[in-house]
Amino acid sequence: MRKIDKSKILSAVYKKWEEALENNQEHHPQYTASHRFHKDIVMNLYHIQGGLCAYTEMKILASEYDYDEANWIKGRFKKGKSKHLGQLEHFDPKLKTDYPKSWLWDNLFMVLNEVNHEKADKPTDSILKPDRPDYDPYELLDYDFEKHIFFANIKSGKLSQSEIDRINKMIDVLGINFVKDWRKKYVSERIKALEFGIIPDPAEEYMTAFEITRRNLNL
Amino acid sequence: MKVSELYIKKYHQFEDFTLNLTYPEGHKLAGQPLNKVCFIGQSGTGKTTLLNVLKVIILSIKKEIQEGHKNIMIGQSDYGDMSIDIFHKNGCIKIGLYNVHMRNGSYYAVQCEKDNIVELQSEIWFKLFNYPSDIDLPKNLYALRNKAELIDNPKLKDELIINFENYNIGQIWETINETVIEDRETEIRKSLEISRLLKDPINSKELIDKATNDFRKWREETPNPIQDLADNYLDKIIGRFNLKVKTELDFEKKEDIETIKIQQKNGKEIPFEALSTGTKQVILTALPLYGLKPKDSIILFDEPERSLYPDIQTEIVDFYTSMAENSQFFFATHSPLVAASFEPWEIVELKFNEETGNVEQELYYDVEKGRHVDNYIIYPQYLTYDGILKRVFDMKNEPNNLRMNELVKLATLESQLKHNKLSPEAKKEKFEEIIKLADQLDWDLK
Repeated sequence: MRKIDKSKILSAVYKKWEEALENNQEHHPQYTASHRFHKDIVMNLYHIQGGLCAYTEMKILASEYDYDEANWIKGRFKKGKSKHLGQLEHFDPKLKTDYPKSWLWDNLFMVLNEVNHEKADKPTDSILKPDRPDYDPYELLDYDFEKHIFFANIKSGKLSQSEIDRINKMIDVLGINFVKDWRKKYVSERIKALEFGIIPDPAEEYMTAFEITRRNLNL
Repeated sequence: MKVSELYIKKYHQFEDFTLNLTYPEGHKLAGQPLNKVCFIGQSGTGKTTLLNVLKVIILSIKKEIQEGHKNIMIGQSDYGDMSIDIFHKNGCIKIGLYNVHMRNGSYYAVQCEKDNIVELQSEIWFKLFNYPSDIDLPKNLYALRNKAELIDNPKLKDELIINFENYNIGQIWETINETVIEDRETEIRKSLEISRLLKDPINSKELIDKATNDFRKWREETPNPIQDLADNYLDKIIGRFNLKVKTELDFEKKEDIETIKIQQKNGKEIPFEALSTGTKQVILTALPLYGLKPKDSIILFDEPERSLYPDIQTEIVDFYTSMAENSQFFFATHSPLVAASFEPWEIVELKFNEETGNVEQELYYDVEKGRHVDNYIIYPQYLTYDGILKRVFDMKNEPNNLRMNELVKLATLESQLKHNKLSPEAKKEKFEEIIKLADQLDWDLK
C-alpha cells in the first residue's frame, strides 16, 4: 500500500463545499453515488492514486487519460463515463453513517470493488492509513515473496508486538492481500527479469511489493 | 459433418452472438470444425441455452430438409434468427431459422443457401444425440425389459435423433442386449457343435481341428461385445468404483445370458438397483454411445459431471469421446475437472457484459495478435487443479480469509525466527509452531 498525497485538488468546487461544511460544523448530506460531486471525487482520487486501488495497488481504472488534468474545467470534472473496477471507499466506516461526515476528503479513497465489499463496516486503525503524514510502507510492511503476501515488518526491529498485531489485523481489514495471485504473477515476472540481468519495464502496479522484494533479495 | 459456426441474432441473453467453432490458425486442423466443445460460465450465462439452440436448429433443419422441404415455413416461434454453418466433405453450408414477415403475418422458417435438396439431404445426414442434465435414470433395468411399451418402440439403431428428453435411457439397454444375446447364442451354438463332434468317435481329428479353428477364427473376427464393452470402455471407469462388467457365462439363471451384469472386482454380483447414482449415470450414458456406435454425429451433453467423484470427472470426456467416430461433442459443465480435458480453443467461456447485460464469449487469445495457437494465453490442460480454478474459473482468491490470515501469521513467525534474537528454547518453540501451521496450511516450507 503506497503512501498517498491527497493535497492535489482538481475538484475545487467539491473541496470548497466540503470545507464549508466542516468549517460551519454542518452535517454532510447522506452519501449516495448519484450525488453531484461523486464523480468529481472519484476522478480526483484516481488522479492522485494513478488509477490504482489505494490499498492493493491493483490497476482499476482502464485509461490514464480519463484522469488527465485537462478533463477538469473550473474545478469540475467534465469528462463522461470511465471504465473502472473501483468504488469510493470510506476508510473509517463510522464517518459514513454514525457521524455524518460522508463526504470528508480525508476519509475517501478509490479501491477495488471486492475490497470495498469485504471491508464493509469493519473498524479501522489509522496505523495503516495511506495518506497519514508519517505513513511509510517500507517501515511498517514486509513482503513474503514465497507466499506473496504483505505482513508486518519484523526485520526493522522497530515495531512492538502490539504494533505487529495491529498492522497484520489492518492488512486483513483493508484486503491488501486480496490480489495475491495477480500480484504474484506481476511481481515474479519482474523479479525474475532482474535475476537474469534484464531491466524490466517500470512497474505500473504493485510497486511496493516489487520494491520490498527487490530490496530483500538485494537485486 | 460438424458445426463450424453458430450465430444467434437475438435470443435471451445472446445478441448478435457468433461462435467460431473451428481450430485456430497454426493448429494441424486449422479451419476445420472442433471435435469437442465445452461451454463454461456462471449459472445463467446460457450454457444449456446454447445446447438447446443447437438442438432446435438441428432438429428443425433435419426434419424439414429430410422431408424434402427447403425454405419451409414452420410457424411461430419464440426463437430469433439463428443459424449454423455445417462443415462436410464438400465444403460448408449455412442453414438457419429465420423470422419471415409476410402480409398475412410473421412466420419462422428454415432457410438454406443451397438449392439442390438431394445434395442437401446427404449433407445433413448425421445423427444427433442429446443428453439433458436431468436424464431420468431408471431404478431397475431388469424390470424395464419386460415392459410391453418397449415392444412398440422404434429400433434406436435406425433413429437419426436420439433425444433422451423423449427416450427413457433404459431402452438402450435392450438394444445392446440384442447384440449381446445374439453373440452369446452364437457362441453357445458353435461350442455345442464342437462338443458333438468330440463325442462321436467317427469324426476325424482334422474335422474337429477345423471346427475348433473355425470357432477361434469367428471369435477373433467377431469380438465378444460384452468383453469389448468391459475391456475397452466400461471397466476403465467403473473399475474406480471397485466394479467390473461380468463377462463370464455361468448359466445359473436364464438372465445370465440375457443381460449385462455388473459385479464387484471380487466377483460378487451387484444388482443394478443397488448401484450408486454416479455408477448408473456412467453406465447408462455410455451404453447408447457404445451400442449405437455414433459416426459423423453431433452429441450434446449437459453436465456430464453429475454425481461423479473428481477422479472420474477428469476422465469422463475422453471416455465418452472415445466411443464415437468422427463425431462432434458439445459439453456444458460447471466442473473445472471436466474443463481441464479441453484445449483452449475448445472452451467457450460465457460471461455477462455488465454494461449491456448480454452474454459474450471470453476469448482466451490476444485479440490484437489474432486467433492463432501461439496467441492463446490459457491452456487448461497445462494447469494444476488449483490453476484451473484460478485461471479458467476466475477463483482468484484464497478460499477464505482464515487461510489468508494464517499465511500472514506464518510469514510473521518465520520473519521473527529469522530476525529476532531468541534463546535456543524460544527458537525451537517458534519453529515447532511454524511446522504445525505450515502442515495445517499444506504449505511447503522452502
